[in-house]
Amino acid sequence: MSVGSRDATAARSSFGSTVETRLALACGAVLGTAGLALVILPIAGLVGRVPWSRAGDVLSSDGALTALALSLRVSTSAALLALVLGFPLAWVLARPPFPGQSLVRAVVVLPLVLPPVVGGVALLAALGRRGVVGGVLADLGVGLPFTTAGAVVAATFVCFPLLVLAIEGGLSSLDRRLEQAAATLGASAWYTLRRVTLPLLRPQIVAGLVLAWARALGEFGATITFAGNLRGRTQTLPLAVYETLQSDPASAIALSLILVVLSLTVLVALRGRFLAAR
Amino acid sequence: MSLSIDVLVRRGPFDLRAAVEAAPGETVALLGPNGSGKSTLVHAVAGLVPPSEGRVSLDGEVLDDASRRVHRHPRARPVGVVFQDLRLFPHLTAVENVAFPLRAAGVPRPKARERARSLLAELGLAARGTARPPDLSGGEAQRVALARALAGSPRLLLLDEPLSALDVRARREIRSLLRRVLAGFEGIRVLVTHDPVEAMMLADRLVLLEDGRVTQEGTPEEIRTGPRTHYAAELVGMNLFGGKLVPLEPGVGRLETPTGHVVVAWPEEAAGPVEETIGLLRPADVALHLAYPEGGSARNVLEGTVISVAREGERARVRIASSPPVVADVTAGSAQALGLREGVRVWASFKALEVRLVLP
Repeated sequence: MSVGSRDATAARSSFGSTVETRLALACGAVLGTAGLALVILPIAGLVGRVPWSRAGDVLSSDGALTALALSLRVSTSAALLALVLGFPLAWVLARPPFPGQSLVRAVVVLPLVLPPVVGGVALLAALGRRGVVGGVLADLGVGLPFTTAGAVVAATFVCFPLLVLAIEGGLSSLDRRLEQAAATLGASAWYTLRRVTLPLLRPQIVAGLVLAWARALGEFGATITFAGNLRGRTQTLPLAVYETLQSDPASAIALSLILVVLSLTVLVALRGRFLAAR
Repeated sequence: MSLSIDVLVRRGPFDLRAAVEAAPGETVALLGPNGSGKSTLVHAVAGLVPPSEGRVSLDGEVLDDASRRVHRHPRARPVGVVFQDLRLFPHLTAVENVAFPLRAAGVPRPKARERARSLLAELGLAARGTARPPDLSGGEAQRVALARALAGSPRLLLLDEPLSALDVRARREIRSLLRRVLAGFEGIRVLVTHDPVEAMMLADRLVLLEDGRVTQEGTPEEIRTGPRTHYAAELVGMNLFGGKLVPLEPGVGRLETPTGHVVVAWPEEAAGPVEETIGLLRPADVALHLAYPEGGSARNVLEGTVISVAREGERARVRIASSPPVVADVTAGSAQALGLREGVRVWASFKALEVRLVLP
């Protein structure tokens, strides 16, 4: 290509780029607004149909408070359990590639894309009273299905990929040279983990916990399949919403509002605080 | 009681084969261009890169012995490292960074912090103890890294390019601080640098590393008088004038060496006479004449007889017994045209500006 024609190409592309940029910006604005609307419209619809006169009674009813308390307990336990189980996995996935690593990653992410009901069925098959592991557990006197512990397991199953991915992201962008420096300063592996690695990963751990917690809070399919819908034991808020919807749609909407407000508050407060600053 | 390194370290296509010895109370500088393997050697001695072959021992303790599969973990080596990129912990304060090796060794927190504070104070950082690394200046961060490496009371101190990331002012400060710290450190000191001035000012002995091999070692004086490679000649073949710097006229000073005076540009940072100043002059910046050069701009014109003419390819290195003595590089053609040989009377000239000054 001669110098002249390259100049011409450059001129054309720079002319084109301003028009194209504007077009892209306009398209982006329209699509972005549509995307935001996709989320905001249903929420607004929900808020618009809240029976405000009865809302106070519904929200302070025994059933609602029990479900809320259980939801908070289950989702918090699930997020913490996911952290304990997920951290070592994230560690392994962030290591230099090894044979089978991508398979491990695919397995870890699976609950994220699997329909939760299928997850519940799978949990039942494995941990149910006649399941492979469940039978052994039942012999030991541990029954998971239709217990609060079972609801925690179901919620952990669906939320722990989020934690693994968040921490894995943190670990792979972690400056490994700092761990080397810690070693030359005489630090043991445990001391380095405690004083260097974990503090540096704090933002990602917090972000992962928040996402996992929010996901566990909204968990429905796996829970109802594996743990059932027993008031006070496995009936979390989403299950309570579903049950109430059959008989009293207006109350169901009021209950839904709790979940929306709770999730939004936590996401805004914690994600803003720990991620935006970085 | 010494450090003994004799290793082969493979890193991808690069391999480093080096044998280096160092004794306590001695500062050895590993001097070489970028990519010569200096940092690799530091990492090997620190235990971060196991050698493929050979041994590393410190005070008779074997740290590495590839043939016997001995590799002591970095944490179990009495070695303090100041990394080129410092590697301070960004989430810890300066005091916590310095206390880190003590805490890791099980020293109770109050005692560790007290020791860290006093170390920082010794290095002139008493007021910055609660600052975190992102808020420290380059010179401050360098001091914290130095204090942290010293805090664990290592028997070997490895300094990897401790001045390269600093600006001119901080470099001078840290250089004189390093001189003091190195003199006060009783173990073995190994300094890695690509800067010959830094090496000559801080080290007792130089080890030249080129392309993964040791090409020469000895005192700066030994290498200056008998450089074995082109790099060594370039590096230490410089004219070096040491003495007292005194003001002469505005913007101009005089460096008074025991063997004669040199006119130099006055350095901005000096307010008055400065003892122990070093002036460096590249031999290629010295011009030779057979008669006194009239009407030139060079402030320095030194008369003397030629002691030797050494040809190296297209270049001839001429030593002249002037006051002070100088070395000049001229092309082989010029040397022949001027009829330069031992005993010929010449005038060597160079500009004041071409003398690079290093203040203590």
